[in-house]
Amino acid sequence: MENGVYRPTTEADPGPARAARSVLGGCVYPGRLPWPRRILKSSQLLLSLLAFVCEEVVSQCTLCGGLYFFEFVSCCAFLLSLLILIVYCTPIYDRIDAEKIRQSDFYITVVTGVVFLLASIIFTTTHDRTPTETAAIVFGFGASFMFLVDFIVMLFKKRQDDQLRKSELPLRTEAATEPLNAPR
Amino acid sequence: MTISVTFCLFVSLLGVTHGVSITAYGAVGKNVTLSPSLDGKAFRDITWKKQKDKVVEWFGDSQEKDFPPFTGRVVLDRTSGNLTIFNLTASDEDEYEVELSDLRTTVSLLVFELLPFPILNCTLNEEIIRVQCVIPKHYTSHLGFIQYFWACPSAQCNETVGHELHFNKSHLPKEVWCTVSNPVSNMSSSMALESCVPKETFRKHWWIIAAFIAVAGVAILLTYYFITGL
Repeated sequence: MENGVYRPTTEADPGPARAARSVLGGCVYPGRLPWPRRILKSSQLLLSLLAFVCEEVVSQCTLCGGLYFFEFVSCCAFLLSLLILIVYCTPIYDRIDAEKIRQSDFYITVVTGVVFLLASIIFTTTHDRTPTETAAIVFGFGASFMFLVDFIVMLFKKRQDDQLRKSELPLRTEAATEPLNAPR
Repeated sequence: MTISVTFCLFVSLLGVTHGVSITAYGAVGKNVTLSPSLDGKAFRDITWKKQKDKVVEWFGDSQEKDFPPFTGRVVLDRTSGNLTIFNLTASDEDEYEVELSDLRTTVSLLVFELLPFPILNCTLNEEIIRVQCVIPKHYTSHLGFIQYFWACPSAQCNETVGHELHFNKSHLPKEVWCTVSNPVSNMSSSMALESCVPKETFRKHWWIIAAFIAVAGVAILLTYYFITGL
């Protein structure tokens, strides 16, 4: 695809996100995500942190495997959602290809959501029924739900984009063939 | 379960006098002495009977004579009238009558099978732990005479008489002992009560480190992907 024909269009449209560097001193800019996804991402961060904290309070366990898996997954989920938010809300975003970020976000979100859901189910079957464990499980399921909803939203958006691209594609190819054929 | 035995056998007569009737307790395979408890009399003749059947008889001028199935298993003390039966069998259990000159009295003999080790088991219900001391089902000899004794550091053990103990999960003694006893023997078993409570361990937090490493790995991979495009 490295064709001279596409260069003017790809470079001329950097997207609305890239133009917003100056807002909040260029350090934090949450506006790159639409507000529903901003809420989803924030609740992922908050719920996975709460699930992790509640799980950390538990001091004893009978079947510890479930607890340890939940600990690992909730901690990972919290750190990954933090990582994604940092990427979206800081100038780092401007230095990276937006498509790559979108794709990474997509896969990280779906994998985290599924694994977190699995960890919550396993923890439900192995916990000792203390209030903190129950709270951790509730937050765990909440966080998994947020990740999965976020994934569905992204999937929906991706399909929409694909359909849009398909409808645009024949026009572009037509336009691209003309200057290529002309000199030869 | 640690099992310790305190076995004690009463070979001598353990008599309880009810008027003139006396009860003696013996164990299978051991000896027992039936005593008419009539001291200080010089007897001219002695006859011991099991129901209507003679066990042993002695007349002042002759040798004593024992009868089947007691042949060779009995010794008669001519002064006190005591009858010692060796190698007891369950069928020896009966009412014995003794005639000493012109006196007559009866002695009841109860023969017990030797007690087996009691079995301790526990069940956890909510926060209460129920410990039961059970005699194996095959043992059926005079179950009504069996008594249960408990021993543990908690005061509760000394107060309990039955075959069942209750503990709160939070006040659990380390070990309990149950002793079952009948008039001729006793047997004890012990149980470590920590086996009654599902084992809870203090959890570790190592998986946080693993999570940090995993996320760091993901971050490195992402950076590489963002820079080079894989």
